[in-house]
Amino acid sequence: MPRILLVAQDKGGSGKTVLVRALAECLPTARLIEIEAGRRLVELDDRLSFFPVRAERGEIDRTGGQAARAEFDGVLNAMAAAEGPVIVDVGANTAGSLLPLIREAGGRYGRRGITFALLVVVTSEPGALANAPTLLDLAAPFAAARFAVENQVEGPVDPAALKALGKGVTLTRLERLSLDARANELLQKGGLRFIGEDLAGAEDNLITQFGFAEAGRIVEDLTRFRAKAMAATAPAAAWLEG
Amino acid sequence: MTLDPKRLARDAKRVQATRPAGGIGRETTGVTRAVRDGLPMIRQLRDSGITWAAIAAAMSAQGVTQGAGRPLTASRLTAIVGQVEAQLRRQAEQATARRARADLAALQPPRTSDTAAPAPIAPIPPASSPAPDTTAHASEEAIRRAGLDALHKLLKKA
Repeated sequence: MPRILLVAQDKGGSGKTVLVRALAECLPTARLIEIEAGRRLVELDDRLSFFPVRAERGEIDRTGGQAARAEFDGVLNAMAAAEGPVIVDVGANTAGSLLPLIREAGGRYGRRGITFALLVVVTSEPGALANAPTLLDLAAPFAAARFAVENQVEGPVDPAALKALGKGVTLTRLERLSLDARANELLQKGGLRFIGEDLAGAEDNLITQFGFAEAGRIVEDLTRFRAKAMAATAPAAAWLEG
Repeated sequence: MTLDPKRLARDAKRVQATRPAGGIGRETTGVTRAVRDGLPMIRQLRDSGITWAAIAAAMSAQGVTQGAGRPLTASRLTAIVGQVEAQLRRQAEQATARRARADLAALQPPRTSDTAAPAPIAPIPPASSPAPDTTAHASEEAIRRAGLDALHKLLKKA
């Protein structure tokens, strides 16, 4: 029974892609779909299908709106072809348009044995805070499970706002971590994958490059960050695994 | 010390003949050259849905390996593809800029084959967008791939 986890937040900069990467670490066999203006998950290319959005304005004008209606066809088709767990990184300003299409096609997906869940990222940024319950409501009719991750990157989220997300939502937290500057630079370049696959074996090289003390901070900070991000997505990963 | 001009010319031509035709940077393994030569086919395979891992495995089967005979990995392949595409874009931009320089156009002497002037390089269209202006700046994907490649190099540097 293919399971598809949609990871969404229409406000950019919420840490959504970090959580997608963490889910990919939790489930190394899961396929990924990225819906974005440009490719971000380049380190996961071997597991990824990329779909650029949005339709070109000129094309929409030329086709009288047909291009806009069809712009998610590739994504919807790819999800219908799922054979195992799939993580979908729904780019900013996209979930509000995509979720209703999935809801409309929910019965047809169901007949193919495909079930959906939604993970929404919540931060204290007002736009992200306002968008989270909207997306959770949109997904309620078709999602078998709904998750929210409180990303404290911009500070803790108002507990009342988190409570208002509803009882049916599984809530986890990603604490804000202060990373060594060089560790953060490496994180931006490589995501989380290299931390699990390459970092331990590269410690001697890092010591040669940056010295014993800083290399230690880099390895420690990156390892801790990956573990925290994976912990924040663990309930969703468990659902996805089935 | 005086130079032997005949020997200089002979040695320079010999070295030139052993260098890769593309003339892009230093190549320490054959992977970059293989990727450059096979780039259109690699892109065609990707567009038809073949995974990077499958392409990397197929290239390894033909002897394109990384390091000491280790099979080419998908992440290494995508990093090199990004690097080669960025190089090709830069070449195209430089060629366009060179052609647009009025001072060079006016002063350019007639060339013979002996002067070995670089052949004009056709602009390489971007992989995903036909808009000509997009060649003027590196895409988000190219920047990210270059960063990932730099990270891999850092982790492997002794």
